[in-house]
Amino acid sequence: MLAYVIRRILMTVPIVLGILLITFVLFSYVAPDPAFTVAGRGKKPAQLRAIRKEMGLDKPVWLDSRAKAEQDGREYKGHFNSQFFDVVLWRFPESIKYHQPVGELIARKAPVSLAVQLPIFLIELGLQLILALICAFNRGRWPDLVVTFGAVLGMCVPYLSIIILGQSVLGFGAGIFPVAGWDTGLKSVHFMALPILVGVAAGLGGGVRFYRTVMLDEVYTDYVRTARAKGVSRNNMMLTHVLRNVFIPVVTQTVTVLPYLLLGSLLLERMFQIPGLGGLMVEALFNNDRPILLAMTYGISIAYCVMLMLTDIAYTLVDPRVRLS
Amino acid sequence: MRKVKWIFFGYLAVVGALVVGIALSFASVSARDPDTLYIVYISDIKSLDPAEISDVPSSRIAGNLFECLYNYDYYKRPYELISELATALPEISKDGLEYTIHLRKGIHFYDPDGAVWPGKTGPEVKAKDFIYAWKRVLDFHLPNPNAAIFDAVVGADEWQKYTEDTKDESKIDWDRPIAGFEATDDYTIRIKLKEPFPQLVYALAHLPSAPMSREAVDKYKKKTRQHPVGTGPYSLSYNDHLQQQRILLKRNPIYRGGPMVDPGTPVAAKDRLPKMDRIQFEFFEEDLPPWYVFREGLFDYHGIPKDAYGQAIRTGTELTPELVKQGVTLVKEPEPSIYYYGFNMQDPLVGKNKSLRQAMCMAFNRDQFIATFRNGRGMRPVGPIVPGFPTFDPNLKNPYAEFNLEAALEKMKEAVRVNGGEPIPTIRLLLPGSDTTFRQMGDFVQRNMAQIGVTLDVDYTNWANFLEQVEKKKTAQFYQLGWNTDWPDEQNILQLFWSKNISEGGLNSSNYANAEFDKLYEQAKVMSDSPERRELYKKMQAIVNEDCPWMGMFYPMDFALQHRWLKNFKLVDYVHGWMANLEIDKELRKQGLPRG
Repeated sequence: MLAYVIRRILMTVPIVLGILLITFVLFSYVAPDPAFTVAGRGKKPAQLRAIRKEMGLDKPVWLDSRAKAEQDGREYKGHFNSQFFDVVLWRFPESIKYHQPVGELIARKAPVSLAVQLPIFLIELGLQLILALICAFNRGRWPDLVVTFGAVLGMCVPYLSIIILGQSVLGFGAGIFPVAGWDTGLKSVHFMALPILVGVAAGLGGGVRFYRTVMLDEVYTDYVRTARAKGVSRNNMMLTHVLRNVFIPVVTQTVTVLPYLLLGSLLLERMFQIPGLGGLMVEALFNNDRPILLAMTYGISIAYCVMLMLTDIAYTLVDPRVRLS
Repeated sequence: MRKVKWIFFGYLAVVGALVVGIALSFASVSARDPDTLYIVYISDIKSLDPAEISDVPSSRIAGNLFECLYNYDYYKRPYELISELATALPEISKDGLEYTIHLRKGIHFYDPDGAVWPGKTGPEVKAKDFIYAWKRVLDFHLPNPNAAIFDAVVGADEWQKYTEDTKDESKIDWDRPIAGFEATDDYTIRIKLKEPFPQLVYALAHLPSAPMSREAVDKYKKKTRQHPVGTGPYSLSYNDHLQQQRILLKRNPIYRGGPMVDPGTPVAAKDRLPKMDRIQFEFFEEDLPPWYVFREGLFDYHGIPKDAYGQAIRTGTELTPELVKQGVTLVKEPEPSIYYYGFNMQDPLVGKNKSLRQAMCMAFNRDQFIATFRNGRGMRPVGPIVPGFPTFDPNLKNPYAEFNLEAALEKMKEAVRVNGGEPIPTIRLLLPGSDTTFRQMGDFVQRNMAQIGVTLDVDYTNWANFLEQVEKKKTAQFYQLGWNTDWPDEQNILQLFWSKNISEGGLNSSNYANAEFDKLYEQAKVMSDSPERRELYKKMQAIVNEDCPWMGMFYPMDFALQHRWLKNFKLVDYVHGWMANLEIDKELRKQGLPRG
């Protein structure tokens, strides 16, 4: 297993660097000039030169010439060998918009996203499995029909509508929850209730349908039929044998979404005004804030690769037939 | 089976703990603080360094933290200048080239973080602090769009060049004089101009001209953006600004009571400080959630989102009975701004075909547009000069500002002739957003233009791409933009048509050049307010109206709702520090909203 892990880590390096390189090239050649976004209207050529200097955009995109840097009286560093490698080495520059180190911003906002997304994920996963199990137990009967109908309905209603419904009915109308907002530390906890409820409600349907299908596939396999023929009770059959065997798709589904728990839900954070990474990312996209976008791309690609590796390792724990070699 | 059970119970325990934790947190929810004003802000601030401020959200916050030589009277309309850190309006020489300004004595800087001066109170504001701040505005290394306010000052260009030539900004000699800025003593400033610039007095009421403490800037360096050290009614500590979340202003304990108050004047203790202890700005990017929060009585005033207009206004400008019952009142004020579709005058099609532009202007149904997209909150523009300005005339006859399909079709025949008898090719309209409203607006203009046979291809993009195409590459053919005036003088708008402002990123984004207009503009820009200058402004507007480099959309009308406990609230432009006037009737707020 160790050899496998080392091999996967080594494979991760070119993947992450490749992603970063593509992002860097897109920013350097396709994205609009960030100096224009920063400068506001009525800028003068000198001001644009100053902004470009401050943002390091006066440097060559790729490698720099020491002689030219000295002649221009600026730091000897090309864009590529400063911004790109700085990010690779986890040295984040300042955000263009917030003038704060990107690392500091991410460190402050990631826990906020996680605080909302983790409960949603945990509650949602458990409910999805329970409801899927109920469907599989009662296939074709009313509990299955009711749950499946509810799940399809949930999938059909747009996320935004569920959010607005939650805010207007449970928040503004009934006054049970705060409509939106956030505070600092533990004072924020009560603001989490409605986003969690809405997040769970919005995400439940798809998972229930997926796990129901997986469980039903499993129910009609030969070993289940044999076990039932040998007298294993239905409950024992479902909870012990079937549930264990559906863990592989559960693990795959679960582990790959983990990096996005940190990233947060863009829409949920925006509508509930949760100051997490989702909002930061959206603002960075609108403001062409390269340092934030590079750092986020880098962080997410690493997290995704690591989680995929953990998924493979987790397979060996839930399925003894899987060997990592 | 046992393992599965454990997993199941473990899971139940975690989820149960979560639910209980959240439920318990409701018990500790604290009510709104009676001494704090609660306000929404919808766009995060870029900088709190006055030299860098050019955006409305930053100005709105910084206006409470800094003061300038001059300000505008909060209550008077049309806007009237008042002296703030100066004792009176400037003494101007007969040739308009020399301004002498006397400062109030005994006003001190305040550093809420206490990192510059122990005890937080800084030294007295003196003439040198203004000159230092103005030099910073002109500093090449401090990229800001405000340097233009001192363009006319003697020696400003030389100073800018000197700072640009000094590659290492730490080596800039801040004691190096600028001929046009002189501190004749600690409390007197003399400004010398190369040519008359009558708008200078407005520039001195503009936040970028606020005095700065050199000690504070030396201490905070680049972090000056996050450490405002000013003299305004409120202060902001570094830890009270949480990006994209909250800004908490606390009152400046050494404030003197009002912009026109001398520190030596006896003012009752209760009147010496702003009315509210704190102002909390809460960040919301979307329209509807803060609207619900306002309706719960948790924000003291708020605008009306487009999608909730029906919940607030019944007919015309009448509030719904529910809001009336709650004691909510509607506050209205025309904004000195204009929104328009600009034609790129360098474009070989729209730029060279005046008849086409005129036809398009007449085919655009502004009244319907304002009713549809602004819920009637706006006025049909009659020219670039906006309401509230001395030469604004709402009854001005401008045939190209009126919807007249017949005349537009007639003009189109000329447009086709100008185009060599060929049909008009598709025109690309660039919009700075891609949300539903922008798409609906794009469809609206498309349908309007289709009526005269003009096909529009609408491009929806983000702000960064938009600026790139309009101001840098100048490839946009037809685009949507707006202008919020910086001060109540027509020159501030008419500069957008001056050909010398055509440059990469220049203010003249429609690249309009008209020799006659330029001549009048250059004549008017050095004149003080007079009937002659007003005539020139009117002539310039007439030229622009005839040439149609813009297709005006609307003059916005600002609407806001306030709860019954908020006092002294007015919608303002230009004025800074006005939130110090706001007051809460604590008893009424405690009672909350009448229910039922």
